[in-house]
Amino acid sequence: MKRLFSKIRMHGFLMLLVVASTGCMDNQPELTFVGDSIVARWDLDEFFPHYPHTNLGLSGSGIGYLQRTLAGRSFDDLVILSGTNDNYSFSDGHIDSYVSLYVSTIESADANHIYLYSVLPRDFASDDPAVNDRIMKFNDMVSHAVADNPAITYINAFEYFYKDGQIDLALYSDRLHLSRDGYEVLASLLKGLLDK
Amino acid sequence: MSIFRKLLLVTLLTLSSFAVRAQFAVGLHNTRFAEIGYTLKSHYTFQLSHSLFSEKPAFQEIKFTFDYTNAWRDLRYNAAAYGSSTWNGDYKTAGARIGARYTLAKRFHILGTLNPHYDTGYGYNTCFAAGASVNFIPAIAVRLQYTTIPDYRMSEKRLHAGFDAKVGPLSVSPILSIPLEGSSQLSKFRVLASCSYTF
Repeated sequence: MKRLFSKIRMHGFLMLLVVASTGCMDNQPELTFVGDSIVARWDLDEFFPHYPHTNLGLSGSGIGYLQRTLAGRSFDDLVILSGTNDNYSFSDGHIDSYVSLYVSTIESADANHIYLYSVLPRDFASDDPAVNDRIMKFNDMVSHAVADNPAITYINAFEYFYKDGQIDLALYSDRLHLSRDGYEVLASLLKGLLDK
Repeated sequence: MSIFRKLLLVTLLTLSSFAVRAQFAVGLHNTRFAEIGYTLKSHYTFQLSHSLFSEKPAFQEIKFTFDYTNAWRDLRYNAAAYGSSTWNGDYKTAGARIGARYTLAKRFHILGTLNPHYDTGYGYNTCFAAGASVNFIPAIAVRLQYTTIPDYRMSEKRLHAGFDAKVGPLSVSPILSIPLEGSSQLSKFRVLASCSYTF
């Protein structure tokens, strides 16, 4: 009899544990990250464990991948960090048409909300010395173009990675891709907005 | 009454209803979870774990686990039920774990775990782990395991390679968690540290 009561007590405890834990099911919005290798390399489960997420980052990708990925799909919250692989299009003769295509691609996405990171500075071995000036100009044009769109929150991350005319090496693993500290900066900027 | 108060009340009532022949253990699981456990009569363990994410307190996760462990000849097995939630209730999980370790020739162990797992954000997943470990010396086993059981929250296909060392009341398990799918896998290696000390 004593053993029977013990078993009942044990099973009751287990049932309570499971029922209490699943009692109120809720639907968190899913974060979908789209972009190039900087997104693809981001360990999202480590940095965003409390948000369901999908990583659609693709190394080497640019505007073409962004168009293909965003077209015909709907998203909860969309996080975009893309453009560095297209930096040759930030030159004077091409930048206006590229910004127009970039912004229209992002604005056409079917998402509850879009978090758009600025393109980050870089200093890769093969980079043109003026690459960061072009990236700054591109970021400036994009931030102005989306400023009045309530569905898009622009995250100016560039300034956190660029100090005194140079990239902050502590935030990079190879002057293009990010170190763990670099991802920490990106994550904290986004979390500050998500937690509001 | 909030979910935490309910769980805490149930746990405390259950703990207090048992006799006192018990052991306490404190430790760390997968680098990000602090744990405290209470084992009764070597078989029944109640465990409370709390996440150590670099997050605000409201986003931290608290988890209750009840585990039953026993052995039959060379087979050691356990069954556990658990439930967790963030403090702000953003997501909750519940599930069970059924595990077994079969010892062959004293040094070689076959390991397996089945883990039906429900997460209010990701839905239901049947996760599992399968692998083997070898005791090169009695205190240290080398482990290699394929797993879909979440390291943190999301189920991923990963390979766990590392050591399980046990010296007296202290056990330590440094594990390399290697992703097996997705792009840019090399950047998503994790070093998972687990340890516990039993009083």
